[in-house]
Amino acid sequence: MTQARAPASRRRRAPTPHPVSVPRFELTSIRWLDAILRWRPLQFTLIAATLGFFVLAILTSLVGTPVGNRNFGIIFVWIVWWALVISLLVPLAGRLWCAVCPIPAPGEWLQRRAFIAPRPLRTLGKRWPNRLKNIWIQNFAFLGVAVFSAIILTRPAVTGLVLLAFVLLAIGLSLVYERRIFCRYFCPVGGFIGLYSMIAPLELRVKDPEVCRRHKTKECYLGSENGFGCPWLVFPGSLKRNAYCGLCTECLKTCSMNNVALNLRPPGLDLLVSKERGLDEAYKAFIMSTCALLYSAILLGPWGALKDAANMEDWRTWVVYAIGFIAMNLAVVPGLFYAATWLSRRWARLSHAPTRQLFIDFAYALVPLGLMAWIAFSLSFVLVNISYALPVLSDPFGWGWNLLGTRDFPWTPYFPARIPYLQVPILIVGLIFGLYITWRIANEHASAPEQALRSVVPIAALLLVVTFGFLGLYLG
Amino acid sequence: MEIGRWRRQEAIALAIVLLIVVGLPAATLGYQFGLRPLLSANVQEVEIVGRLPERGGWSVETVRVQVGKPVRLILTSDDVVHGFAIGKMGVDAGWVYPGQPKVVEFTPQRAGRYTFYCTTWCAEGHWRMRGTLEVYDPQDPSAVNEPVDPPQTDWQAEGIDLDAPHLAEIFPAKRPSAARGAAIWQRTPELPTPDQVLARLDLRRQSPAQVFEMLQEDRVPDLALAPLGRMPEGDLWDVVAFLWREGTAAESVELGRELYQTNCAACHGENGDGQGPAAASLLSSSMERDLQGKHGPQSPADFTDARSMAGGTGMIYYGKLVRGGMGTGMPYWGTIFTEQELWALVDYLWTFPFDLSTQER
Ligand code: SF4
Ligand code: SF4
Repeated sequence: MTQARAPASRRRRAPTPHPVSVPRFELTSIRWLDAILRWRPLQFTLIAATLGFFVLAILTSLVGTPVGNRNFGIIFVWIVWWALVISLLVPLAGRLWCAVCPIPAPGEWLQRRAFIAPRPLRTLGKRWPNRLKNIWIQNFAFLGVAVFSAIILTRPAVTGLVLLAFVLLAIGLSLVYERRIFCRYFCPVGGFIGLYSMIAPLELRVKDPEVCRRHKTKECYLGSENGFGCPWLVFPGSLKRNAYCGLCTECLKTCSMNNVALNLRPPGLDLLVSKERGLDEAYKAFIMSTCALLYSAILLGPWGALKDAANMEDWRTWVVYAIGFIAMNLAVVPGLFYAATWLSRRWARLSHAPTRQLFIDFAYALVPLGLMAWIAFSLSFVLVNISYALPVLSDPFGWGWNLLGTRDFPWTPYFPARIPYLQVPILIVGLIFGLYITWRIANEHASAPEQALRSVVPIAALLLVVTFGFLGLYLG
Repeated sequence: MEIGRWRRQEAIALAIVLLIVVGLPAATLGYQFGLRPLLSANVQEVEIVGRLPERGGWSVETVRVQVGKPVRLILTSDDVVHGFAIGKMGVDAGWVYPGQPKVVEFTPQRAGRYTFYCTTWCAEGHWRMRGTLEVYDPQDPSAVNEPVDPPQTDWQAEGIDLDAPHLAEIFPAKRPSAARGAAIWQRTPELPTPDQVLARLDLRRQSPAQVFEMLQEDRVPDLALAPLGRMPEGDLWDVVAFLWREGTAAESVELGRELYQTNCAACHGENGDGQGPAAASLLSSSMERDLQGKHGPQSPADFTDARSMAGGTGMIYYGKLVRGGMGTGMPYWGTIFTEQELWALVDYLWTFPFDLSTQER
């Protein structure tokens, strides 16, 4: 205990210098916030709240009205929750949702045999295979959900079954493997959040990696009587990016050296951490951007046949659609990007860098643009449909209840005519941010500014084309 | 001490989780399926979801209710705007917008089978959006199987072939005007009163062309109508229109107008010319279009076509309404409209070939 207090007082005297020299504000230096984050029942309390909504969402989806916009499950999962995650939580707080997500909770409680108190985990003790320690499964899971999304998003029963399947899979994996294998390697939403959380201005990091290096017991990873080892299989001591830290604050509680902090920092820093980039993540970036583009085309574009195909009006056209959808994500867009990278390498004479490496590195430039495209795209249906939230709160099952007296609140689309005026600047911000990241990544490889500039041009051109594609869809 | 605190926390947490995972479903489902029916035992609540016909139509196709027990229908649409009404019961919910529940309450008074249907053109197969309301009476259990007020006419006995074309040999060259006909009648003092003439005609069973010929040839029994026979044909057609107006109640025409505009105009057109917004899709969906061209038998009837209207009788239109047009998109209305409504529709149809207004236009 004395050990835990000493660094705390030191921290308050002088903030610890951070390895990457950018300004950071240590949120955990605020005493009350620090106390809340260290309060053991915190995560359980938050999860209990979301679990209530989640159980209601599954129940209403499965036994409530089949009419999507009168069903709590559809409205709260795909409109309210989605709006919250995509437009607020991810851009501002990264993986914060993962800290309160109820899906892995039952499995985690079972393997812990506890809700709050730390205990040794009990599972079959199997190890997750090394060759699956990447996010390819997550990528394919996301694609799988995406290709069926028109059905999942509009049919309450399908939504209910998908959510239930997630919970059951998470429980199954928890019983076999230690910690949150489902979150880390399966959850399609987690993949989405993880990629874009790298932009967030919030991060959990150790204050001084040197302290970690010297600290033999590594409680943050292995667990102690103060808390569990990182459920996300992350070693905080070498944590440099938000991508796989679920912000559960467990390490904040376990670390007896008081070496873990929650910081505010400039957004997007993690995209510049070159060491941990990989092809699986690059593909995640392609898949995310392509899906945003395809959804915009399907839902906002003028192609009725495309919408019908996505809606599975007839299975044969749907199969064609699905093949096209997957090909766009896995081959066409990455192929175009590969071509741009190849051009970039040739033109800037970056012969020392393999094209594959450049391809992976530059893919991270798509992250800001992709996130902003998702936000812009989501605005178009969130603002139009969010007013359904009030009636479904009063009548979650669509059974004619009127709990809060808001059942008959009329559908009110908010600023439908102004949505493009919001979408355009959001997208432009994404483009500028993306160009900046391209420039920074180019400088990692180039030896002179002119060389960097040359290598940026093809990628920048592609980003511009993509942006114009989005703008065309938003402005009709 | 520490252990005790852990235990207490875990117990509370377990209680909360059980409350959410078991209590919440038990409470909501228990209320809906146990408590609620108990609390409102004297109102029967039924949820009906409208979907496009190709996606299933009304989600509950047969609803069983009891005579004298209030019914609350909660209507919603899953896709487009539908309309909801129950034929022969006077229940009309109007439009049902997607996602916006509409509640209608009524108390059925008579046992029997009623038809509920969509009252707005929602898709090509709109007319298939029908369901059955079975009103059960414990005192008379078999009545639930009987359609309410079925149309009584027997066309075969009447010698009417509903599908035979009825093109008149003689028909007006321009739209006859009842107002002009009235003026002509007034100018001709030798004529008996219109009521005397109408008493000897059967406008439901005689076509305008037949009436025209009877007037022209002075063949109306017990009456001398020679002056009419000497008139130019155009004037005599105006007189026929005038008699048609005199022979139909204005309220019936008005009721017919409302019913027509709600239920028929989508195909037959607001002006009765067979060019309603739905007509094109009816045609394009039909192979007949290729085989027979635009004016094949699949196109909705054109009620402004003088030749065909002059040859048709009210009884034929009434019969077509009751039975529907086999093989065309024309629904059968016999289970939906009352006798009075069916005839009101027929009365209104005559306003298309005839100008039945009181002022000359
Ligand atoms: S974070 Fe804390 S517990 Fe983990 S290695 Fe560093 S000092 Fe040790
Ligand atoms: S690094 Fe810390 S906060 Fe992040 S998931 Fe692991 S234990 Fe939780």
